[in-house]
Amino acid sequence: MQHAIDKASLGPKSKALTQGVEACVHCGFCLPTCPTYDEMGEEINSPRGRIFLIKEVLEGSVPMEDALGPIDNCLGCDACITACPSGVEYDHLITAFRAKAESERSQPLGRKLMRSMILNTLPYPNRAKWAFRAGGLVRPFKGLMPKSIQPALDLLPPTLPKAEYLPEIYPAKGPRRGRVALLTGCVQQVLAPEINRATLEVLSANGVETVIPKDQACCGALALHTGAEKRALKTARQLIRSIPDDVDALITNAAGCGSGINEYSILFAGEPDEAEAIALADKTKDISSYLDEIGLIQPPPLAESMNVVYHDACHLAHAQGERSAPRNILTAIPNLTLLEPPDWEICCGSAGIYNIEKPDVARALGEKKVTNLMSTEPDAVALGNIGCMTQIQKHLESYEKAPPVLHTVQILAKAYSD
Amino acid sequence: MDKNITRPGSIAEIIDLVHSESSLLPIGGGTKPSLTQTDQETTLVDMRGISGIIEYQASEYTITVNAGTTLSDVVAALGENGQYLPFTPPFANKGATIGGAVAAGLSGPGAYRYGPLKDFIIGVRFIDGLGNYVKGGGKVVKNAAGFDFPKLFNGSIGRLGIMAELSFKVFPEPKTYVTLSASFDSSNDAIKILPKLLGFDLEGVELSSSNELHLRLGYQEPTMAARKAGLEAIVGQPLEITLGVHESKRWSSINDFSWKGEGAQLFKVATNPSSANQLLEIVRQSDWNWHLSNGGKSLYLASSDAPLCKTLDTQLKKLHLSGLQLFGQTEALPIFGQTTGLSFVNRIQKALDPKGLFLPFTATAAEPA
Amino acid sequence: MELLPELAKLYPSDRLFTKKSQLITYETDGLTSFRSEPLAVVVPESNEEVIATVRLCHKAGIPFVARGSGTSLSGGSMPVEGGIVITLNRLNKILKIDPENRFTVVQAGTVNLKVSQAVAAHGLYYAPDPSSQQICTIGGNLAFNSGGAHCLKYGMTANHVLAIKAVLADGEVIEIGSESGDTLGPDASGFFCGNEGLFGVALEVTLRLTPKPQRYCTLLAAYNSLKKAGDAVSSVVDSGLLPGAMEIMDRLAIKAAEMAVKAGYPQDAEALLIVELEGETDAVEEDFKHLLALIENTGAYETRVAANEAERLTIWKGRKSAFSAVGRLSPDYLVQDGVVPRSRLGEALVKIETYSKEYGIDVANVFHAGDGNLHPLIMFNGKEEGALHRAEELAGKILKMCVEMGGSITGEHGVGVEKKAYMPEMFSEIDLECMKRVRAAIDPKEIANRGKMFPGGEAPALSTVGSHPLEKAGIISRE
Ligand SMILES: Cc1cc2nc3c(=O)[nH]c(=O)nc-3n(C[C@H](O)[C@H](O)[C@H](O)COP(=O)(O)OP(=O)(O)OC[C@H]3O[C@@H](n4cnc5c(N)ncnc54)[C@H](O)[C@@H]3O)c2cc1C
Ligand code: SF4
Ligand code: SF4
Repeated sequence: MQHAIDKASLGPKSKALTQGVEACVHCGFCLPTCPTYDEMGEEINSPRGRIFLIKEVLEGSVPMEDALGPIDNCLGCDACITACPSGVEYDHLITAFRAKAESERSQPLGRKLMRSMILNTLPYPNRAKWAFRAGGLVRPFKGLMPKSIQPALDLLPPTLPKAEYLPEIYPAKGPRRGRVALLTGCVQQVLAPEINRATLEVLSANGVETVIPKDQACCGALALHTGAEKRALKTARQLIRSIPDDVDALITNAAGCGSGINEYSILFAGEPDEAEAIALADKTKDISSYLDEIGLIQPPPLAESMNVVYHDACHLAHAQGERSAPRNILTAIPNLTLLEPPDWEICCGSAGIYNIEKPDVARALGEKKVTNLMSTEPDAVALGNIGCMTQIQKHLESYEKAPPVLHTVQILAKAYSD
Repeated sequence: MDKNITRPGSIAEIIDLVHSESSLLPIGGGTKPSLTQTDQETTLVDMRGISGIIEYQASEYTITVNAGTTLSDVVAALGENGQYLPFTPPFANKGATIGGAVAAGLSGPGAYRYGPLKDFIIGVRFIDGLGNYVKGGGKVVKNAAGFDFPKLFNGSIGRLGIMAELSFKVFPEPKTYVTLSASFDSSNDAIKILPKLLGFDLEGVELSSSNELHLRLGYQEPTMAARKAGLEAIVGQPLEITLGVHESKRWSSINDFSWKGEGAQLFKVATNPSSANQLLEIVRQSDWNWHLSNGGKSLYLASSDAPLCKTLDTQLKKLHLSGLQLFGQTEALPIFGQTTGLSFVNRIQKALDPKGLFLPFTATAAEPA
Repeated sequence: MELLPELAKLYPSDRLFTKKSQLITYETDGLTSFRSEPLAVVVPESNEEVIATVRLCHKAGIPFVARGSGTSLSGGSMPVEGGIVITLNRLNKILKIDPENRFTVVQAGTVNLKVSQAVAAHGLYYAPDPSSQQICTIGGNLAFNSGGAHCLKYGMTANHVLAIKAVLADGEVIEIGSESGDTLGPDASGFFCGNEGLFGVALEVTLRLTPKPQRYCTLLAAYNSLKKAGDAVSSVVDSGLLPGAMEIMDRLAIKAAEMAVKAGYPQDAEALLIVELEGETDAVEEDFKHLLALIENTGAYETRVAANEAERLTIWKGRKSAFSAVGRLSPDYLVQDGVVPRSRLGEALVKIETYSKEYGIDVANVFHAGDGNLHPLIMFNGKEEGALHRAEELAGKILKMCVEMGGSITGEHGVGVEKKAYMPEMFSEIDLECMKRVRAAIDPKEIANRGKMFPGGEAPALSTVGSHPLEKAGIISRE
């Protein structure tokens, strides 16, 4: 599309902010995959509409304030990127625009509090643990709490699993085929420590030694996706410092973290340490991609055969374009049958902190997703992202015989140990 | 009949008629007599003076002809190049014209494979009620410019204007045909088969009142046995093969409605397999003759019983179906049963024929109050 | 009568948009060089709301535009300045599926591909497949009589529409056509198709469902010249085979499609030809042998056969993404949609190439070769002074060429605002006047999609050079 944006005024983010506008041909191919469009059927709440709106704001014909509603509604699921034949880098566009918006927005106190509460707790495992504990305690009194934090409370688990002790180095079994570092993830460490454990076991079974840097920090994805750029930079820098140079890859097992690191080129645009950040991003791989790349060591069959439906996490399938690796490694298990749900491309509603900020839409999407998954009559749901895991588990609660929701590596670990 | 009839030889003469006469009805070969029945005030315009093929390029899959050209001439010209009108219009052997086929909106058994006449008409030139010579559509197989007059004139029964020139999309015709037939105990049993013929490329699916189902295929030697076996599995009984002259005779007799009987009234009802079956429930209790064509999409009813149209009108209304009378004394409008769509047609007619030169789409008992 | 307060009574505030930030996203459709801002946008959730809205507009004499997914490539769903946009995206339910009698009834806002998905379990599908099928709506298809890759054999949208329930521009609700498809009396539903939104708003549409072919056989042939590919099409046609689809893409289109979806197309080809046969397994496989033998003699330097459904879909995905993918090659482009008699395809392509050189503007070609429907994509950079006008001039030349060759200015994208100035190339004053009389009988106040399709009138013809008169008047804008 043509535009009259004054690029010079946008600084280092100008490329991210205009590439999408320029490449978009307004064809609408992204509409059917957009969860907010699917729910609302409104142009303003579609990727194409948002791009148009951003253009108008940047051109100065619409005030930033008026554009925030639809922009906030975007889940950042990146489904529109997969759908777009014209190569619009919507992820970069929205991230850069949100950063800009955040610095200009005047926001109501409730939202501020809410965001600050989330951004101050979730990325820090210890704080998160306390917050979840505290949250669990106050849940019965939810009605008394301010409305804006009620949805957050709904998501909290009633009890937390026991913390897992992770060693600094997890050795490879058999001849060594590789050495990697593991990003343990902030929320995941607290909510589902068994995922990291399974990751280590599967890597080990595949002859890979894993380093777990102690002083690693949050990747900054959560802050970045909500426009809190300074905070994102700070924790990202700490992470970069903590990863040793001599590893083949930085492994992520939460798709959200992986896609967050992929966006360092935007976050660090114009920063002095831009090159280092990009180098780390290039090295970062989802666990499934890594295993598929090095060639999975044939897993033995599971104790019992299993029909598994695979849920494509947006941050893996759309943001990282990875759909085949998880399927390849799952179907490597001899007695596992892989099922595909309808409407795979549509988000489950968990993206980022969406289910906390836009609970109604998130709920509708969660219900739809679970219906689609259950239509395949699975024994288990497999996926590669903790956010989706919590969301899907929550919406499965209403089912009588809800199948377990597992990370891809958990199923593999089971096969290797069975 | 000393009807007021005239045979113009040019467009200019037709335009003169529009300016000089007060009521006109174009006619072709008169093979659908109910559609050309009028009172004394109406001048019949015999279109057979405007005939001949205007443009035909086989490799384009299109043909443009004058409206008064006989179907047999069109069919012959196409046949020379191995092509045909895939909707196989009826009465081709009885002197029907192409304009008459369009005005009646009549397709034959061939419509089963690729669709009825309305799917193949791509262009029309007509004289409207003000004497304008108007063009709609074009001569290429695909065209989306302007209002789709060619479609509108399909079934216009001479009441929206006088078609002078028509363009069609045409297709290559199978070189040889073969017919596979089975006989059933009841029409009900046979109709149940129709929806199951899914995915078979058949050139015709016809059910006669003697409960004989005829399936027509383009003959292709290497695959014949396999296709026959596939169809037998669906039909649930062995199929009898007819080939050659017998085969083509069977289909031309269907196309000529020879089953109808001399002097009988003939009606066409637009149906689908389910509604055809419902209507046949009633028909079976009478001595009406019937034939289910085009895989259940057109049910033809014949009777020498005078009050058929009244009875039929009531039944059709009940079932939300509509019918067209082709033979026999008829009302002012030969359309029966449900006619809700005609209010829209009437508005268009007022635009094309503001003076009311052509016969109206109203003035029939069938119009709901 | 003041329209806005009346609309406010009809719609809650979250379904009635009047703020600039909301309205601008509806300013344009798939042809972004034309934009205009409506007075308001409404998001109805029932037929009754649509009907009431149309009646209010009629009473107030305020124009309206029905909008499906806004993928029109001719400005068809661009709002009328100061008018109302009626969006139909929430009216997207499939109301009835009757597999026995092979039809379905859907609301007009239903997305084309959703229909096929919904009936797939019955072995049926909805045949018309415009490249935009994953998002365009049945209402939009109907208004434009949209086509797709399979038109030669299966026809356009009108051939698959059995019945329509609609509200006419003056508020009358009509029901035309029948579930049978064998209509009696004038084919009113066929006539309604392709009206470009000028008659009113379609609400519910009964569609013919087609049995899914037992077997598809698809091949991809690569040529080192466009002419050879064109000639190959002629020899297929002359052989008496009737393929479901025959599509050609040229070098630029191949490049763009490959960048977008990695279909694995031969990258050094000057032209790719896709031919698809479909039908009964045995019969098709037999025909396909003939086809392969035939293609062998057409000078293709590489021929690939889709070995399975996945490979077939990949071939098609590249083709169907081609338009949008050209966005990767050029910041702006115009898509044309002219038709020429198929036997003159080669001649037409040579002419387009000459024009392209003459103007120094790249043109990518993707087209439905089977029915002579060209889609030249004229690439330009809108930032360059006068580039759009030159591109439009070139587009105009192509359209005139199509008409001169006995074809049409549009095969499937409709006239809209973009091509209305070219209507007189195809139709005489008398023809147009007759169409206008029909329109007046249905929409005496000319409120439905005012300013589209007909040249002149309240929205004067788009001139090929210089700014559009509406631009000068500040009514529409293009940057
Ligand atoms: C990338 C791309 C590829 C395309 N490929 C093809 C192709 O292969 N073949 C093809 O034919 N087209 C193609 N198109 C054009 C376009 O998709 C079609 O014209 C489509 O039918 C428009 O549907 P829509 O829902 O987007 O309608 P819109 O663009 O919203 O509207 C189109 C017109 O229909 C009217 N309208 C919409 N709904 C209704 C209704 N319910 N009642 C009355 N009028 C209504 C509007 O007023 C407007 O005039 C393509 C477009 C794009 C962007
Ligand atoms: S698919 Fe891409 S080019 Fe098309 S509207 Fe969406 S973002 Fe724009
Ligand atoms: S990121 Fe997801 S929610 Fe946001 S516009 Fe794209 S598809 Fe829609």
